Amino acid sequence: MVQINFAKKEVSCKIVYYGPGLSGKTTNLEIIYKKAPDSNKGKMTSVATEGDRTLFFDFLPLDIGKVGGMNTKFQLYTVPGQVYYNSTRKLVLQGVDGVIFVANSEKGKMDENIESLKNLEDNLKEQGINISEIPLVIQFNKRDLPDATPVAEMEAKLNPWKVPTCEASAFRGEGVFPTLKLTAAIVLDRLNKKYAPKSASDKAIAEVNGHKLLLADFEKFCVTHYRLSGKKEPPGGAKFSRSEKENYLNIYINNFLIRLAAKEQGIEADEKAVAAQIEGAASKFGSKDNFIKYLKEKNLTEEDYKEEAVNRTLSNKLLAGIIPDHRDRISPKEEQLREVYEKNRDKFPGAFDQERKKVEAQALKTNRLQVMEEMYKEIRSEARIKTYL
Amino acid sequence: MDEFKASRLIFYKDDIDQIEKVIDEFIKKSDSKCSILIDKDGHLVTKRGQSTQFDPETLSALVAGSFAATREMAKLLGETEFTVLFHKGLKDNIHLSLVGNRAILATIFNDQTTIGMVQLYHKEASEKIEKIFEISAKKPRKETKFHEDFGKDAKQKLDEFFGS
Ligand SMILES: Nc1nc2c(ncn2[C@@H]2O[C@H](COP(=O)(O)OP(=O)(O)OP(=O)(O)O)[C@@H](O)[C@H]2O)c(=O)[nH]1
Ligand SMILES: [Mg+2]
Repeated sequence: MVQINFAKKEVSCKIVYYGPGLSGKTTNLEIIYKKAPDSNKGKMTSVATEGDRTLFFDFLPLDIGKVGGMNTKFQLYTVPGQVYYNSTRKLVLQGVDGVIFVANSEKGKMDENIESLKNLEDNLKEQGINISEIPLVIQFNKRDLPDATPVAEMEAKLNPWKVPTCEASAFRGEGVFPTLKLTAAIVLDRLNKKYAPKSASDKAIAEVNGHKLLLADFEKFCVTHYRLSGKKEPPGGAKFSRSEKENYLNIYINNFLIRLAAKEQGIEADEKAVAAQIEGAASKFGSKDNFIKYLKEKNLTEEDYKEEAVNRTLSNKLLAGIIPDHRDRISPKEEQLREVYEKNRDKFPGAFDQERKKVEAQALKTNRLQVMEEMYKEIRSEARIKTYL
Repeated sequence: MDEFKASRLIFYKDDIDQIEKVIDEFIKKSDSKCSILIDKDGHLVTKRGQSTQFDPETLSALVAGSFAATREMAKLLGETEFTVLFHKGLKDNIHLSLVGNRAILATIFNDQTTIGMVQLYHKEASEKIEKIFEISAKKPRKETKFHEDFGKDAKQKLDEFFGS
């Protein structure tokens, strides 16, 4: 089992070379020991018989350096291949993270290969591991032998799971690194899937009716929205508090729901309506050029505003369907105008008739917001929303 | 779920800090040279005390291997487990003991001290470390994550190391 040590910022994985006796497991390790740079390897230790047959295991620690800030190590072990040593083989296999099965291509060794592979399957099962689930690479070794069993035959007889395979001639140093690289890549990929956060580009901020809203898009939206609101941006860019983000996320989700609903109902934001929206906003600046200049100062483009204009256009169009009496409710009654006027005399210092237009505009805005809120509530009530703020 | 958590080999900074304190204290009290803590799969967890010649990772693999072997011996003899191993050398000796079911504490000492002293304090230290593991397993952990570039980095590192 991979050890993850957050104190030492270290990841340590156990890779075991398995296979029948004399297939070349120890030779694989010897080659790695010989070829790996000194700074990346520890000592190679062999617990072997006088005759060089592995008795317990060979061991070689390998350190490939920092991966994503974690010092990444592989502890390489070989098992004794001889049938007789099954109990020690099991011990070495304990806690394995990746297996390299070294098959012997020598003529007449197929049965031994098959038996050893079966033995691997059984011993893994004892640990509760299904052979098809563990990172496994099969090496066809001794390809240099003139009468080596054809690769196709080895593939057919030894690889029902279609795991990656590698041809090698270990004692010539061929195929040894590629086999280990392949295995290490699978082991690290597993770790990555399990422990690394999704890369920023596909991290979600919310899920709405099964659609993923991306964090990166939302962050852009926050900045654009902040700039559009006309607020002065501090040097180094705007930072948002949690409550501000919550607020923006609400708006962001509302916008998304509006677009979803519009799509469902076949409602589109036609060019004309959008242009009218933009014109309306520009009119406050005297001319469209002034408006664009203003946007530019705020680091915004016309496109940014257009996005907003589309949202407004779609909202307006949807409103009719969701709140049929919206016109009636938005246009202010005489009574409301009086009330707004009286309550905000600091804003409206003139006589009522003089200020009437401004009062009307304010009341209209308030009513509009209210009706919009109601619409959003209505749309949200049927939506499935999950947020990850 | 709890079982799964206990069987995972994840060590956090706060636990390791505590464990190292326990081991340092043990080395001082028992007058040993150094100690290494090894997880049950033979990966080194931490090494404390005087620096010595040996490669701690190789020692970890051998200690875990010999412990695994004695466990099998114990089973054959109808014992549940031999919890302590001791090897005597000319200069240095090594004392090994199980810490709960997930680690082994190995200590090297010479004739400055006695096996009795080492054994006495080893037991105490093992129990303390086991306690730390137990508490740790129950701590609600905000899953510490790798850097998001782990995957990308891994590919690059493997290419560098093994050639592409
Ligand atoms: N022709 C040939 N011989 C090889 C190759 N790789 C290893 N050998 C030889 O095969 C014999 C056994 O190699 P080892 O690496 O000791 O085999 P092992 O798998 O570790 O064997 P056990 O420890 O008994 O399980 C040695 O004589 C090696 O030189 C190869 O690619 N081609
Ligand atoms: Mg061998």
